[in-house]
Amino acid sequence: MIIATLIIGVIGLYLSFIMMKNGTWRVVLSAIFGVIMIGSLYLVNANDRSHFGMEKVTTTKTVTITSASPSKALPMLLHQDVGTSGKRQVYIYKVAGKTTHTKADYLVSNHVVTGDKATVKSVKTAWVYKNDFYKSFFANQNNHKLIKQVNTITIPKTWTSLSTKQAKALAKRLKAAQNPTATQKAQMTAAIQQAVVQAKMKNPSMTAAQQKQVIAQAKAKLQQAAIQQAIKAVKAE
Amino acid sequence: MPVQDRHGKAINVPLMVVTLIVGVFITVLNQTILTTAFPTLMKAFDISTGTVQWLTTGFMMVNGIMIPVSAYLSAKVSTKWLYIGAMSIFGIGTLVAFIANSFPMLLAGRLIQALGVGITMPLLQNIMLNLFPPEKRGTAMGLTGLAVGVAPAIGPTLSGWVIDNSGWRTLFGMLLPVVVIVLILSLFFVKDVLPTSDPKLDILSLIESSFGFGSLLYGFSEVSSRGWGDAIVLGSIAFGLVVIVLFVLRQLKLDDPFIQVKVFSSKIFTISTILSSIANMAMVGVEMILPLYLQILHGKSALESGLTLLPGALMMGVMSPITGIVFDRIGAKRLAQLGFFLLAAATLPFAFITADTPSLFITLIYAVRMFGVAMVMMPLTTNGMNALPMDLIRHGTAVNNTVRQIASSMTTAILVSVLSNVTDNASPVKQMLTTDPLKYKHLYFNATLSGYHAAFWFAIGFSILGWALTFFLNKKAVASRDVTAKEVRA
Repeated sequence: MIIATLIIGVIGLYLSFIMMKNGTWRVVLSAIFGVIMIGSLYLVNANDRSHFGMEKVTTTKTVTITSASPSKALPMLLHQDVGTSGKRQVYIYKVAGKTTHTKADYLVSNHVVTGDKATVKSVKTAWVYKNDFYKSFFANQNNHKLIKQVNTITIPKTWTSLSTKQAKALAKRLKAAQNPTATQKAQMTAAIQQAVVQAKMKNPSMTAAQQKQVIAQAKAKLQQAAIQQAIKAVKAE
Repeated sequence: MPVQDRHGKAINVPLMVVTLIVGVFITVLNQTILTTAFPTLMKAFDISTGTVQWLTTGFMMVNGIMIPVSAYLSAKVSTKWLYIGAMSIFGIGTLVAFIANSFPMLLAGRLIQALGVGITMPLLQNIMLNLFPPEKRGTAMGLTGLAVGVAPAIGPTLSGWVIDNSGWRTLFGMLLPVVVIVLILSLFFVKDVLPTSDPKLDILSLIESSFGFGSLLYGFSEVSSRGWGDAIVLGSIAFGLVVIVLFVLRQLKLDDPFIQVKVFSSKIFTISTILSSIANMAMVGVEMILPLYLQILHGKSALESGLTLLPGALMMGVMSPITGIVFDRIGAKRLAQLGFFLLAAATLPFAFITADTPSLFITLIYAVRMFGVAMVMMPLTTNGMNALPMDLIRHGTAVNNTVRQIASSMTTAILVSVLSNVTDNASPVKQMLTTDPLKYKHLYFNATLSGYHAAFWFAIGFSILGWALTFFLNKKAVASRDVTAKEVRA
């Protein structure tokens, strides 16, 4: 271990240079211990600056995520900006039911892509000791020191990506939408009526149950449209 | 023959030494004990950083001014009562600070403390040099190294722990019982050892010395907040230097000088003083900068950074007496050569320190440094003293301590300005703190790192200079009794 070699070098140098009587042996031993000491100091520095004894290792980890948004009907990927430049964000989601987020670190970068399943793939590059010898030689200091981490967050098309600020604004808007104004009520009733009329035109012998189905479908469509409109509005802010 | 005091009575040397060292240890501890308390004190009294720093600056100035006075007092007042008097003054100052309910009162307490410390530190040295024959002085001075060298190193750690657990008043309160115990023990065990001669107090010398050194120390301490170009800084330093020159010229003219500056005519004394001051400079510089590095780049608390450096301080405590014994056997030259070599070699890694350098390695390499310091500081001081005749010892002590004090004050000033200049030049734009704080932190750390590197290179430069000068050291040890007054005053 480097700690041992350094201590041996220093004490050995002290004992030979100070305690020994003048002569060849003193010179030789002082030189030997001096080299051990200087060598140890040099190696500590080399390990610290150039990661001597370590190599770059890349590990990939993929986890499935679920939305951290409160409403189950509207899955979201939330993010929060770090600084005002807009170039760095922290992404918030749930893993195994617990809410978590990507690390806010200079060395961590995040990308969001669309795909089939909601996952986060972390590709970490770190300095790791080449083998157990080096690991114990340097007292396992700074093992797994992070060099770079790239998180790729995949979300399906049904998810929306919003900042926490936008999500709050959306929640407000949706709450407001639950109490529609008179005009909005009239518009909705009109739209539902139109859907029923169109359905009757296509199928004049519609039963009452079928009619109820059409009304339900129309309502659902209206709700979806309203949500999408709210999302668009919130994103535009 | 048992050791006898001035009145022919026997002295219990071990108990006297213990009483003295414990007393001086707690007084010297106060040099650094407030450094981590500043934030707490600023809140408690609602004062600014500039104001609170007076607790240290003022302390250091009074301490520095009292050192030349100690030479006069050592000869004027009998040893026992001088020690008891100084410890009592220190005790009163501590009490005032303990019960202080306003900043001016706290400051007054500190300054009164400093009056006591300014006397006890050189007094301890004088007593040890008188109590022990020249062949044993190394060991004796090594023991004083415990008080004078280790106490300032332990101060920050101790104060961090006390403040976290108890509050700032305890920093003063905890010393009071020890002071009382030391005073009681002093009545029994501290005997009159130093020769008294009733020297005349030259008032003008006292004034010149106080204003000269006080002004110089003040100038150096203001560099950190005002910079070298500031009028007050340059003015104080210039004024101090001028008055010191007048002071020295006056001493050369006096028959019974306040401070016998002719101690410098001893080549051995001069080079030993220079070397022990250089070692002190190399030690103080890094001692100041490493805690900053640990707290800013590693995010450690003041207590944690103190703990990281504690093994080094303890190393010096252990090695100081040991190197003293070695000095008595083989003299200073080899110790100094190896000491400075270790200092330079072990500071080199710090010049390349990174933001992630493991604390374990920092502690270890710092301890190697302190090993080197222990080999140089006390042995060289003793070597210098041994080259002086007995009646000049008190002057030599005063001169040695004053030079060391000024050197360390100057080093702190130089390194702080090197640090801020290099850091400021490399710092990222303040705007980045809002646009991209992560990048700002990354770049800011790099900037402070380059500042620390520059400061460490300075320390390496001092160490190498010291190492080169050791080649001019005397190979054979000198003993005071062989040096006649005539040789020195030639």
